[in-house]
Amino acid sequence: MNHPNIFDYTQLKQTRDISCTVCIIGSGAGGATLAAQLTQKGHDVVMLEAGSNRYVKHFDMDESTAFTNLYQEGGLRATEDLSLSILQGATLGGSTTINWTTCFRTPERVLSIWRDRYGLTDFTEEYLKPYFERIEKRLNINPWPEVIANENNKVIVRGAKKLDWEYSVLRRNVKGCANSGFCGMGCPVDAKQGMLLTTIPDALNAGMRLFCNTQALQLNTSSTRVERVVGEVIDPTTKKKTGVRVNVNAKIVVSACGAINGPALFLRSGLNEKNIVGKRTFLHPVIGVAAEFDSPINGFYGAPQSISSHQFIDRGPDKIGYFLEVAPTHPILASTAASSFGKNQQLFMKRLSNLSFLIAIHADGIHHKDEGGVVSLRPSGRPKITYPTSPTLTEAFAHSHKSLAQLSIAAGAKRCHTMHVQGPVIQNQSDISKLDTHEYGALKHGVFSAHQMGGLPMGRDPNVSVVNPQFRHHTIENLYVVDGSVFPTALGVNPSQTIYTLSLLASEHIEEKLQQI
Amino acid sequence: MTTSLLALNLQETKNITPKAPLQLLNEKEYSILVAVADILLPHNPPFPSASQIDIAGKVDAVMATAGPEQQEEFRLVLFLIENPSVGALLSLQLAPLSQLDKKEKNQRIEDWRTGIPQLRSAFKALNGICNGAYYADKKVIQIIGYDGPPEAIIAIRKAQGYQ
Repeated sequence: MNHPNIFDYTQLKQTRDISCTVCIIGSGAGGATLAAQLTQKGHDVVMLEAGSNRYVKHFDMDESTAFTNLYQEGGLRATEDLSLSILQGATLGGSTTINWTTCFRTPERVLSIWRDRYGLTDFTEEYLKPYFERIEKRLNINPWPEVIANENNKVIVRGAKKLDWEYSVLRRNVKGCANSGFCGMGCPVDAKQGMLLTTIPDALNAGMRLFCNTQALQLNTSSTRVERVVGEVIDPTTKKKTGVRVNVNAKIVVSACGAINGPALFLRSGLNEKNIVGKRTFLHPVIGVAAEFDSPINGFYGAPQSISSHQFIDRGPDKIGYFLEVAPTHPILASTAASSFGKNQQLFMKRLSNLSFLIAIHADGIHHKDEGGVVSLRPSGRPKITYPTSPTLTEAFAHSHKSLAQLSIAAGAKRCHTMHVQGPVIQNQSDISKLDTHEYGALKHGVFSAHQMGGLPMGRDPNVSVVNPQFRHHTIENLYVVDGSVFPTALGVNPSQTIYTLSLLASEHIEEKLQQI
Repeated sequence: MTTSLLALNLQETKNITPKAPLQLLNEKEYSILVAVADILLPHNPPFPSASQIDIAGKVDAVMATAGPEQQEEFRLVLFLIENPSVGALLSLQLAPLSQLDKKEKNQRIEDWRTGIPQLRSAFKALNGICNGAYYADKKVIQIIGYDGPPEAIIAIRKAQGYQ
């Protein structure tokens, strides 16, 4: 967007030192929501964003352009063994610029775990309700009517009705949505009420200075304070560091660069005394099946997600639960999900118009033994992600594959394909038992993530958490974390609204701290 | 065995001249990638082969912006898939991949796709990035029935002065 308070690669040619009251690292759901609150209270805020200042002008609905310019690592982010592909925003507005707009309030069943296990005693539905309502109003979060759901989403409706499974319409943060289906490439008509159109302009208009193409390399700290944020300008074309530094001295520093990049920043800064940074990283691992129909589905058009089923979110205390949604079927996304090659792959892709991509999203970290993944550092300082598939998760993958196959066939699919390396073709309900003989887990079938959480968890006990319930680091008194990395567990719902909501709450704690400085 | 494998390692990759200046790979790596991509995405009318639309060149451009570790790993994967000693351990095919016939090349790729986890990872890396470049091609997406952005949305954007 054009704004005199935005500085980017084209202007940042010489090292500069900046002072401000609050330095926020990251412009996504957590950082931007916070920035709007603090600037409106008159605080001097500087925001660093590693991605570029791209907006509607650049959102040309081309998948290739979008992955290259808007996603972490050009869309190639993955676990170290490549078993799990990770979709995560890397642009102004963070993942809110490229997400599929699905919004949920934090479920009470998750809040109760956070209260009981992690001491977050304030986190009740009742306490958070006004914050939920404020963000719903600001971002125009409303149900998307079932009648205008696309055929891809209607597969869930048809299947769930036939099987008597729970399903519901989703709520989306859009205003004047053209139902185009290109949310994942940046909204082409400025309808998505992500941070780009809402809280970032709010903050800029209230005086925030925004440095794009500027990655926070390190936090220079004393024993109790962040003394300086060391940033470096990134060339948006080559994605290489330029050597031009942007150094920020701030009374308060906020890490809001998301799970994965946030823990990596802490590790690069040597902030890992308890050896828990980057651990308990949750990815909501996703598996999928492609259901093939006689009639066109055209899952690349229409709101990407508008129906979900939480039929299997609670499978008992010893099992990992999951929820069901669909993914859009644009060619690159669809092709990289498939596990075959050669003519088989081409023939599969030729049926794309008639395919529905049903996904199961697993609620990791809630099961008491589920530790999720780990973020550590590569020699270059970039994050390395490992995510072992536990036996509990393997069991959940087996169960969810069968559920998706069952749903597909009930919805009228003539056949469905799993993303196994050597998977069966399922043509009727009795074929579903074929899935019993297949293996599940890393590199046995496709696994994806569009939700990254944890790694800098919140809690009362400094031995098992990085920040306290006021979002402040347990020992670095002017360092806060405000993004999905503070989640002590995954959610079992799409996480953006929880991040917005917690950010509103965090702004009050930071405001209180600023009054004391 | 070691001596013969060493000798086989010295066999030359079938060289293919890049269609445009390379940004990351050297010519040998590019040639290996061309051979692999044509197995992953063969000429299969109406589908063009990967080499007909220079998928290797596009992948080279993508990998030029990747992190240093990813670049190193990608180059290693290309070396390993071409290297006859690795191929020999798996399928007794002793020649470099780029010199195998079509059936043998397919078999080597299939061995990687279904092999030990490290080979599966390598297959995923190559297959994913080649598919990503292939299904970005306008001719290919027409073949699979994807008409691209809706005219109505393009019209809205044009009215706003955007492409």
